[in-house]
Amino acid sequence: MFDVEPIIADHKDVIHDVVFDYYGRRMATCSSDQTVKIWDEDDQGKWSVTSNWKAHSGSIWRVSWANPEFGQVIATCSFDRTASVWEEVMGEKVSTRRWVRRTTLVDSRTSVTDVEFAPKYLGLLLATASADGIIRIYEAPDIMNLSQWPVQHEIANKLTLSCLSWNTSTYMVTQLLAAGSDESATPTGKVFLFAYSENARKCVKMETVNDITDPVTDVAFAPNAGRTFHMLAVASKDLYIVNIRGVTDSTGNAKLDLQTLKFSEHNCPVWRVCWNMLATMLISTGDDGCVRIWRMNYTRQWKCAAVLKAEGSGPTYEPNPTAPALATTAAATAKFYKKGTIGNQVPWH
Amino acid sequence: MSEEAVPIFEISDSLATRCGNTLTATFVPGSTKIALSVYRPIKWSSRDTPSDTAGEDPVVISIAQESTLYKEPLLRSLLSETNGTFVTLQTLVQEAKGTKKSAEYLQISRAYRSIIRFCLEKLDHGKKTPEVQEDEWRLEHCTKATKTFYAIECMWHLFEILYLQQQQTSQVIVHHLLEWVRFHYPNTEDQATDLLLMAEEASECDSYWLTLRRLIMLGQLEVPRAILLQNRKFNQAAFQAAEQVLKTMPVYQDGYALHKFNSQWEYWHVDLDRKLAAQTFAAEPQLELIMQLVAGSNKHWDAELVNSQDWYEFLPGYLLYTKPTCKPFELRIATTHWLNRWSVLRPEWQMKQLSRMVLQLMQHDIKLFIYDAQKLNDSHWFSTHLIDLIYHTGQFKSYFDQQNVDLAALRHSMVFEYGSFLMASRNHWQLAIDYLDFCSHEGAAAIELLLPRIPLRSERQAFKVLELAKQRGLVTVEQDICKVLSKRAHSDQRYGSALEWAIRSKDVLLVTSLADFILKNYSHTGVIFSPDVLRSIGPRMFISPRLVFLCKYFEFYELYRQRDFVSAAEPLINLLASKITPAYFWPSLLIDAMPLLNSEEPKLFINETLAILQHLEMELVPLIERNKLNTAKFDNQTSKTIFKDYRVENVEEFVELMRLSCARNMVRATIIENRGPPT
Repeated sequence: MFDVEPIIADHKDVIHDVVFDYYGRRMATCSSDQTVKIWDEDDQGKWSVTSNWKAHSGSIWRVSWANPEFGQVIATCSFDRTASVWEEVMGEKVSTRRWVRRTTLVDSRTSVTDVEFAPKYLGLLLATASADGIIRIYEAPDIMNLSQWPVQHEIANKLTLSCLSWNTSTYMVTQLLAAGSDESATPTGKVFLFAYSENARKCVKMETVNDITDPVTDVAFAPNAGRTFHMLAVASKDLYIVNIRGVTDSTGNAKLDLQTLKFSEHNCPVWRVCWNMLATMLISTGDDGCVRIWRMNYTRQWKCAAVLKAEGSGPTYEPNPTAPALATTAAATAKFYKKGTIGNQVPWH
Repeated sequence: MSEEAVPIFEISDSLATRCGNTLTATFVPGSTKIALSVYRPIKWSSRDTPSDTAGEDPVVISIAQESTLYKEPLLRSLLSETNGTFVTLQTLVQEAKGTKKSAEYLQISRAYRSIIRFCLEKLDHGKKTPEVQEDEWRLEHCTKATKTFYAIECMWHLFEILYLQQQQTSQVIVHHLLEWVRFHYPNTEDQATDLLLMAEEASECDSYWLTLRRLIMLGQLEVPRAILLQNRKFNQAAFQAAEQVLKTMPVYQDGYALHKFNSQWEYWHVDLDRKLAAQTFAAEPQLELIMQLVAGSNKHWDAELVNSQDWYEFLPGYLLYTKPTCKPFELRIATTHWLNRWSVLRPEWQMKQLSRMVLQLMQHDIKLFIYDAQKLNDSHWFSTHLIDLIYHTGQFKSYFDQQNVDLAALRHSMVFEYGSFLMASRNHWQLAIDYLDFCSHEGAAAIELLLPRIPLRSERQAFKVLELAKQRGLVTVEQDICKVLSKRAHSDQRYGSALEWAIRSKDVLLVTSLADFILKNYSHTGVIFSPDVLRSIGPRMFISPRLVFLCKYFEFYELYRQRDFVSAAEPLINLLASKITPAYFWPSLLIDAMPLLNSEEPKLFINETLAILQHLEMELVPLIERNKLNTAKFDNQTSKTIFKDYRVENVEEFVELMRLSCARNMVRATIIENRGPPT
């Protein structure tokens, strides 16, 4: 069984991203209504909005939290071709806080599709991906003053980019970054891996995942708890998990060994992927309306352990003007209705 | 097993229904929660217009969490006590290294069970308290927990009898099974106590004979005898004969020679059959019925079984009267026969989870049992601890090898998952560490990943986490936590605390930037933040040259403020010569020299004055020149930002003044120094 607590988000349009801070005690949401909201959880587990502002003049695609050692900092990216960095500061009055815009990054000439702070061992770095195929890596040289964000690297790609993800682990390969393209015209690989090259003194493309040729909407590196390889989840026509091994070839050059696993259970394009903290579980969501929770079993195989879906999900929907308002049902704590008949806990193995 | 259908859960969200049921979800870090929200597959290439659903239905984020019993505070002690037993077992294994210690394993198993029993008692007691009575949620949770842990105790006890205990004692298990069933069906015994208290009147009670039959079927002999003894007709022949039969029934005890016992029992049984055939008990039909049960008459047992609660309730009793020396491997066959009989008698009866799992244990179907154990709503408490125990006893090794189950991997995965589950449930993270500690290098890596994510709500908690990180030698975790605390203190404007934490984090960059912050603030406002902290830094200052500068400057500043100009002169000169002065601080430092130069009584000697002048010309003036050039090139940079002191408006003017003061002091110093000793 699942206990469910609905929160009325009060966004005027659909949410594009829900992102939690490092501790899971703060939540940032962004929406097509061009606003960002910051939520805080109290000791009773209740979430409430503590800040809410219009951040862009277009749909906001993604939000990213910086590591707390850099303070309370988020970055947003938008259809309006910009990305912004925001910092929470003390207000004029004691114990009030507000978010101020530290910078607007206007280098992109097209929609900025994804933004993500780099793992903290690299310092305060921010990567953006944009529809014109360029990855830009910005750095804040002075962590006490976040208004300066010079571009450190600019990597141009032939294909439009829809998403990116930093690898937080440094095992065998440092500064590994993955990006995906949602280009549908060409039948070429759609996931690219970049890393810092000592020889070239810059970030270069190391590998293309050629097994994935359908448009990609999301990529996510798994946190690494003692594994000797890296895992990248990819949302494309199917769900993929790419196992990446950093190796050194006979000439002493670093290269990557790739192994691609495909999971076709959604039978529909996959939209987003998300790992849990130890990468023992993975969520994939697809256009089939299913939120699939995958679990690594004891033999290290990925198995779908549970499916969450909207009540009464069917293949088609007919608008029903007399549908009951949610406010009344949402106010009380709802429960998931379980369809299966087996015990009430999801077995691990 | 794994091919079983994936469970599907549904959630109500009217917007989702309108949007084509597209829900997306993310894990909430530091918890076992999942946040779900509706999405529409809008891409950058589509037109950016409000979606047609905008404003129609409220946008909802659903926070979902797999239900867990452990939110109930009464269960807290269960978790911490089992944690202790778990650790004891692990250390026991490490010490034993290869030697089999089945007696110790049995002890551990019993320790786990006594924890459950204690917890059940506590729950039972807790449910009666007004706090729980008035709280519907807690009452419901306590009831659920009681049910679950009751079932767990029942299964664990049976597991212990069948698979752990038999190694210790003889192979005969019937009397252990009787004890097990007696504990789990206490109702009949309660009724028997009532009957005993009623003494002679008992036989008038409606349930008198029923209770007696039940007791006999549960394999109890002493209590029925005691009840019969009180019967008014006890001195009649039938009763006397019954007493004789029950009293003489041979009961197997450990250490008996099996063949001897068998022949005794056979003799007794034939004797009873003979008495029944001779109508010895015919005068008392109810008593005769009891004797038929004792004789193991299938017809009579069947008649009684129709009313029993669960399939296994009377199995041990039946074995006592028909196969008292049953061994574990024979139990499997006996169980199958018994169950066939039962399903004929009770065709409508549905096997529940507990009944099914008891069957699996009796039929030695451990693999299925372990699988089903994971479906209990105990957040895998039972399966984790049991599998861990099974793994360590090494008893099932060949069984699992045969079944193609890698027991070591299964145990590792269960303990790892249980540890990370505890880590994610906010109040139990300290217990979690012990489980992850026994999960090879992956456990250690998990601790390193999860420990810094413990929300630091108070300094006390922060110290707790730091202490743990220190014990484990997790230097980076320690440093990360210090950095976060430093940053947090800084944004709360507790600058002293920010500096303290930064120093503790050993992050040179952070310390430097904080020292810069304090110095710059002083230049701008004349206020030095957190003097207490600066006073107490001492040798820790050497982490960063900037901090050294700050501390040395502070020494000077204090003397200066006490108007002890003579003593202040020396640190000032040292600072000027130190080569660690940050560029932005040159104006302030030289301004500080001004009053010393201008004082009535000369405080600075020729050499010192020369040094000041030299710094002015060699450091500050070139800086101003460079800055002018830059300002000309990039007009967005102003000299104000770099050369700012609350005491100076115009840097150029100040340089002129400085030169003058130096010249004047030089003259005075020359006169004094060349005056020679007074005559």
